[in-house]
Amino acid sequence: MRMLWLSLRTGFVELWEHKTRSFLSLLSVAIGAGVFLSSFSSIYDAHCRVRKSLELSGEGRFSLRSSYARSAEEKSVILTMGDLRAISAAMPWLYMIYPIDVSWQKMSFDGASSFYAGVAGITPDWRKRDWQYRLEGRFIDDYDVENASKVCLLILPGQLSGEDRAMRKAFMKNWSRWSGFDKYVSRNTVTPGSKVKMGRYELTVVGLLHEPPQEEDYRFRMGAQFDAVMPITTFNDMLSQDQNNVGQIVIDAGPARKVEQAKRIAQVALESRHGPIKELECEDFREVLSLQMARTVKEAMSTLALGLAALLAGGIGIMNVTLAIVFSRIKEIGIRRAIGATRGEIIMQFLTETLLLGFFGGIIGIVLGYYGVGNILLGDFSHTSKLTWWMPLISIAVAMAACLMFSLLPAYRAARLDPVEALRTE
Amino acid sequence: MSFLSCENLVKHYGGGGGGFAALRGLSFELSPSEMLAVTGPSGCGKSTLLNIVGLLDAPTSGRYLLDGRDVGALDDYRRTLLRRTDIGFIFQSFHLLPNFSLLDNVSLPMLYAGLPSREIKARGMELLASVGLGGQERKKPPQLSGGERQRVAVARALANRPRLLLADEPTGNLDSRTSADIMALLRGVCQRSGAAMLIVTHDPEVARKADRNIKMRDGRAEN
Ligand SMILES: Nc1ncnc2c1ncn2[C@@H]1O[C@H](COP(=O)(O)OP(=O)(O)OP(=O)(O)O)[C@@H](O)[C@H]1O
Ligand SMILES: [Mg+2]
Repeated sequence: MRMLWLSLRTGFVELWEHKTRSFLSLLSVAIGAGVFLSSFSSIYDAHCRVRKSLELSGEGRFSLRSSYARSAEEKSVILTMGDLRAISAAMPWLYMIYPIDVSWQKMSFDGASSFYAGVAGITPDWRKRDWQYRLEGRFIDDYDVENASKVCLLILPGQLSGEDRAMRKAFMKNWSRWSGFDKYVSRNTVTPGSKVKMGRYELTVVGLLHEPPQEEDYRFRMGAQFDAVMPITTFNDMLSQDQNNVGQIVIDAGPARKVEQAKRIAQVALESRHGPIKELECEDFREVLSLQMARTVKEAMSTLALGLAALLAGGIGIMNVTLAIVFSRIKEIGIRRAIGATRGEIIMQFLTETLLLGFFGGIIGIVLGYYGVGNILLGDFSHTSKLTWWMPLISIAVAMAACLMFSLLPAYRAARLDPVEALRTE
Repeated sequence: MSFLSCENLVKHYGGGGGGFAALRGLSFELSPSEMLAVTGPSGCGKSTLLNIVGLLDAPTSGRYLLDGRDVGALDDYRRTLLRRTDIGFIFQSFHLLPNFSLLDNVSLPMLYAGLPSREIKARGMELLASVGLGGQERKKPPQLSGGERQRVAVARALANRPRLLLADEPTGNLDSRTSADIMALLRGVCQRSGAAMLIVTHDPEVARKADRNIKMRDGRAEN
């Protein structure tokens, strides 16, 4: 304990006596620690996003699709509400099952402004997943589905980050979702109760779904995007197609391990109604998920590698400086040995000195990291990293560990010096 | 039985039995509070002897007994522990740490020896006062004259109340008056603490003040 205090004291004196050198060393550690911190926090950020996305979107999701015969031997399987009910009856434990069909419709308000927008027909179960909306008004219910009520909800986009806004602007002209619909609804008062004309129908807007701001939107975006939802039956009526048709059946089996079982049971249920089906048109969400994960992991690794490389560079700088310090302090080492310092105490002294550098460098690094030196160095401006309380501690620890690692060799060299030789040097 | 005895010390530099023999069979004894001066031409092995007696170095052969215990063959760690409690060094060029205050310089051996910090401070002040530097403990060595620096070095050497003081030309960098002061100081210290003292010197004045002299030539005692 006293040794530690002695080393600390010596360390402070030495650092203070060589201010320029200490400052430069501190700076190199600080930059390293800063980049590490921001890369670490961005990785943590990504990790949290993936976790939240998983919670929101579920990991046991898949969807069944109608398939259309491409040759005489093949047979079309057109999915209907009856199929959905059969599957649902076979597996009452399913977390979620809903039909969905999407089309592009001309939408007009007050008979004046009109836009092309994506419209989806669904059932109330739809809201069990990816629900990040703030609901104004009410959602559709079973009654609406049974009676094909002429109601719909509009989805209003959330605040965009700068980059996305720029991108949207570029796409504006030829991408209908952004053709002006959101601009219109944000400028004009569309409230629950407003009327909107779609195809041959006039529908009542019973609710508005406000999307969260971009950076709080954790949904894995899957499949088509749309601007309005309505009961599947209303949707079919509007398009003058069989009220029972569904384009897709989306199923959430709950945990991922139940997906295979659910798929098999669904196939059996469908075959009992359609006859043998060679290959079920099925999209497995887990594939999308693992792709997303792999991408996140890859990004994380390259970011972390950058952070570690920065620390490594700082550490090698420290090692170099410490070697030079040992050389310039041979005499002092000799004196200390003569008046009773053991080899261990000499090692301690040098390690403590660099640990001090690591500690203060780490603290400065936190400030740098917080104000985004990492973002600048990594060229990632859009990213706003959120720090949790333990991240700075980790980056200090890592900076200290790096300093420790790189001062072991110099410290060992200092301790191995022959005291007699050390005293003889001038 | 004497406090310190060396028998037939041999020191080779440059590996194994070959190389240069700086000591070629030197024997002598030292009693408590005795002051022994070692003189001889340059290169005759005086500093080599002091390093061995001071446990900074090990002899190639021969016996070195301290309190009847053979310490010549101890490993570096044990030699260090013994050195820091039982031996005080005074060097020709003072060897103070320039960035530390006088008090810190004097305290260092006590810190290494693990004394309680309150005692370290008290004794440090007392030591500085006893060498005539009371009230200057905040100064740093570069602010002092040569004689004053050597006084600090003496205070530092006495810090852990060693039983053996070793001085390698302690007056080599001082004028004759300051030399006389330092010698008087050392003499008084030896008498008061009962420490034995080995002084390597070129100065006949200094040698004359010692209790006994050894003249060295080519790694041996001359008489
Ligand atoms: N590390 C070493 N390697 C090789 N030879 C050495 C070493 N140290 C000392 N010597 C040699 O040993 C001899 C004795 O050296 P030492 O330093 O003991 O002499 P000295 O009596 O103290 O001389 P001076 O009065 O000049 O200080 C010298 O010839 C010197 O060259
Ligand atoms: Mg010498």
